[in-house]
Amino acid sequence: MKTDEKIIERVLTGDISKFEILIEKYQTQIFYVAMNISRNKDTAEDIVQDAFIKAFDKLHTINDRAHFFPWLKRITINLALNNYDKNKRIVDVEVEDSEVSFFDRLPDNSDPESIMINDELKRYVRLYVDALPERLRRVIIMREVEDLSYEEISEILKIPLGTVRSRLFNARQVVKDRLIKQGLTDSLVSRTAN
Amino acid sequence: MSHKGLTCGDFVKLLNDYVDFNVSKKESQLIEKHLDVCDSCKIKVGNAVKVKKMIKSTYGVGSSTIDVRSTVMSKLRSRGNTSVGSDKSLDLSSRIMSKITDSKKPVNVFKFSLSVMENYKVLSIAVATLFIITATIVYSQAESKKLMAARSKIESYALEHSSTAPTDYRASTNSVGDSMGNGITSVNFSE
Repeated sequence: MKTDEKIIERVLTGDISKFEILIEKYQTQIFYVAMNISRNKDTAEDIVQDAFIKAFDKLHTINDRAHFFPWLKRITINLALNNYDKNKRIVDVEVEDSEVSFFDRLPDNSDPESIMINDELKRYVRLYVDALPERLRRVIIMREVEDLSYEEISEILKIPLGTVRSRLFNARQVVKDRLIKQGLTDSLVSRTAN
Repeated sequence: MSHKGLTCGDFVKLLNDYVDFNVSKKESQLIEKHLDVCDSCKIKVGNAVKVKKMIKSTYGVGSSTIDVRSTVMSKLRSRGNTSVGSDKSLDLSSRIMSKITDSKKPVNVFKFSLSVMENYKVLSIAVATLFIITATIVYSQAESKKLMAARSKIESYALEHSSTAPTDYRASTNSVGDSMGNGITSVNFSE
């Protein structure tokens, strides 16, 4: 497969059809980046299209062609954040802890090791992360999912570095406490320790 | 709990940075020394790492796929000017050229006047107010001059008529103040 640098060079010299290779290569990853912020499939798809068009328009400004994907990801995150702010219709929802604990709802013959990676666990994690206030949710998604540094998050969200740290700390604390309350993380760690 | 300098409280403050590999070498050594002897903090690290991994795997790329190739490419082609970097926001030369081109365009006099009017709206109001104040002052001064002239005319007229009156009947009036003489006016006739 051609490297991004070579493809970009071809596109910049006028062979725009080569841009399609970049779209094919990154569209799914970019779609999930947009989805994680916008939380809406249709909106995410629109954001992906806009991100590629913007990337095409600004392709001549990219400093490090080898790092096309991180550059495209930042374009996507910015578009998704702007889009979210424009259509602020998702209200922060407090999730009521379900009365029956996670383990109580599992079938008796379930293997605990396999449970940890199943969809049910992911559903809980998603539930708790999505229930965070938006300002905390954004930071934790950018850090844990998109692997952005504290500095990058600070720059994108236009908040001080200290605020990034405190929001990340609070977000992790809330999610962890809820998972512990449901009997998830504690048991996992104790098993690992043993 | 304190273990050779680093307490559990100190560790909690560094926990996030530690699991994000955001600590210095020296801090890392201190933390690891603490973790060697503190099981509760070791569990905290384990929990933090597990939560990170859970979130990453939950929100990572899943089975959903999209295909925007044809849509994006057709959008790019349909714009007509399908050259890379068609966004000129960072192209200084293009911006300068566009300014030059704009300056050669015929100026719409009406629009220009309107914009000037808009820009100088406040100034116009200030000038009008100043004019009204000045006019009022000038008018009041003219009025007071007129009044003065009329008074002097009356005085001179009165003086003229009083000098032609017969001396026998000239009367000097002395008004006695209310406090002195019940408001009676005494009249002295002289020969």
